Formats: sequence, C-alpha cells, structure tokens
Amino acid sequence: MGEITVLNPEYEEVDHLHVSMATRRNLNEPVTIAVIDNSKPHAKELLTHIAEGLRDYLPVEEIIVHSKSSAGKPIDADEAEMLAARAHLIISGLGD
Amino acid sequence: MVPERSRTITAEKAAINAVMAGCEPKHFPVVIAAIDAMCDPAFGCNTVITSTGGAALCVVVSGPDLESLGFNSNRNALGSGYRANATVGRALRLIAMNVLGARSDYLDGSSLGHPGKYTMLVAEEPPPESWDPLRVELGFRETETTVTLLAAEGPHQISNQLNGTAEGILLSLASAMTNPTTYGVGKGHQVLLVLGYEHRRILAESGWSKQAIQKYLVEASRVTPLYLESAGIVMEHTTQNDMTPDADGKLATVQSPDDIFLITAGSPGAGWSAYIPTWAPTVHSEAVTKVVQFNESSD
Repeated sequence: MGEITVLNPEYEEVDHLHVSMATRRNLNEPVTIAVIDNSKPHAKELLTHIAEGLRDYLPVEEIIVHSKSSAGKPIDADEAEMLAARAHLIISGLGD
Repeated sequence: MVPERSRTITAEKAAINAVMAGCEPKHFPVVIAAIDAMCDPAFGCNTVITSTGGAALCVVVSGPDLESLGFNSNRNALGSGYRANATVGRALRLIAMNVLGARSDYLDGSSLGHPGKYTMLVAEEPPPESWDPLRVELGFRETETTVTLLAAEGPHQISNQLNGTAEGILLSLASAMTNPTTYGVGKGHQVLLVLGYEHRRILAESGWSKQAIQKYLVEASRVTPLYLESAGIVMEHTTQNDMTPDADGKLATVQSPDDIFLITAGSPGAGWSAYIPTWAPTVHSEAVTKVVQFNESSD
C-alpha cells in the first residue's frame, strides 16, 4: 500500500504574536484624543463626533485629526509613534 | 510577506496551491513572479484583496515564447480553453484565499466581486512590427518574460466594427475609458487596454505609435465635474480622492501615459478590443511588473 500525504494549502500559524495591551488607567488630567481618519468620505466627521461625545466622560482638552493618504494603507511606524506621544487615547476604525 | 497581515507566503504553500489550481511545473515560475508582484508594497495587496470594490488579481504575461508555456494570446484570449491561462491566475487567487485569508466568509469584503476573481490572466500577442511589446515598453529586455499584476475590474468589451479609421477607434477607446460610474474615472487610476486584431492593425498602419495612443487617451479621458455629476456622481474632496479640477476645469482619469497599459491580444474578428480598469486610484494600488525567473527544474 502506498502512503498518501495530505498537504494543507492554508496558512498555518508558526509563531503566535505576543501582544500586550496598553495599561488601562483613569484619566483625570487634560486629555488629548487622536482620531485616525481613514480618508473615506465622512470618516473624519463620524470619528470626530465620537471623540466630541467623550467630552461627557473625560476632561478632553484637544482632539487631533490625523488623515491617512489612503484608506487601504496603514499608518507607518513614525506616524504611530507621533500619535502615541501626543495622545492619551486614539480612535481608529475601518469601513466604508 | 504581506506585513499588514503578518503573513508570509512560503514556497511550500505556493506550490500546494499551484498544484490545486492545476498548474504544470513549467507554469510555477510565472506564479512565483506574480506572487512577488502581489507582495510588492506598491501593489497594496492588503486592501486589494479586502476592498468592497471586489478587485481581481489580473495577471498580464508578456514574453518571447508564451506559446511554449501553453498561454493563449490569440482567439478567445480572455476566454476559456487553455490550461496555462486558467491555472496561473487561479493559483494566485487560491493563495490569496488560503494563505492570506481573502475568503468570502473571512477577510474578503467584496460587495459583489466579479468572475475574474476566480482567475484572470491576459497573455500578450506579439504586437505589430512597429510597436514594442509591453515588457520592452516597461524597460525590460525583449528576451525576458514578465508578469504585470493589476487589481482589476472585469473586462469591458469595446466594439467598433464599422469605423475603419484610427481616429474613430481612438474615440471609442476614450469613450470606454470615461464611463462615469467606473470608480477611478476622474480620480487617476490605471487601465489595461487590450487591442484586438482589427483595432491594433488600423492604428499601427495609420502610423500611431503606442506612446502616441497613450498620450492621446490621457487627454481624451479627462472629464469635467459636470460630466460626472450628470451621471449622479458626487465629487469627493477627501485626502485620498481629491476631485478638485485642474486649471482646465477637468479631472484626470489617468494621470500619465504610463498609467495606460496597452497590449495586443485576440484573433481576427469584427473589431473588438477590451478595457480593463483598475479598481481604484493609484493612491491605493499600482500595477507592479516582475521578471519571470526560469530555471531548468521548472520544465
């Protein structure tokens, strides 16, 4: 009898990503919120509206809007570092 | 490697999917070149295989001896009947589905998609003598075989059977390129134009070079906001699609002659060509060309 080897065409996770969540803490200081606008129509308005709504819950001092050049491309590492350095909270999203 | 998905396409997975697609060993170098193009950052693979727009992975093969590889570039060039045409494109789609997760029940967000998402490949028929093949136009050697990958909508047939003039054919090509409901019209996308037998013969014999055709079509496909608005299209003014007209009051459908990929395919008939627009403006994805690396073991 011959031996049959079944090959798997699908991706197989070889090295699980270990990602630790950022520390959750109470925000009592003046808060800066960054919004990552994916550049689709109305995305900036929707996300800014959500950020504005957080004024009821947080001492929001500033809302920064960062617009991507293309909805299909992620922000690069420098942009991510800049936003992380400036903002206490970042709101992003995807979709049309 | 597709970094946005933290996924690598290994040679083993590529080979398994190519076999599942029905590729012969001699086709595998073409599949590898297509994968290389798909993973080029300029192609924007992550969004191409995710977008609601439903783009196909359209493989254009240009080479000195496509017949020996089994590719059909002549009769029914965009249709069925040839294993190489069917399976190379299918292998790429299976890799996108199985390795990158672009499945209808997972990360493929296409609202409709189109049949080219099963497989889509165009092999270039040697052009008229006065024209260079695509690979030479793109800066590669005549002796090389290249794969150009585009994120494409479905093919649109262009019929012009009774007008025997180059000018008439060019007007028809420009008209096809300016359908206002094609997403990239007025937004700067890329297009693949497949010139059928009669059209390419008339254009070449009338003294039109490929470069002159491309230059003409860049200008002839510029549209006004009013033209688009009359079809119900709303102008966008986002950072990714800024549809503010240029000084002439028009918007570019294709920004430069290099954004028109002009190839020849198809057999004598009545007068057919095909227009295959990319699914989105170049800010999201650009066509990428790679050389096929053949080796002895691929025979």
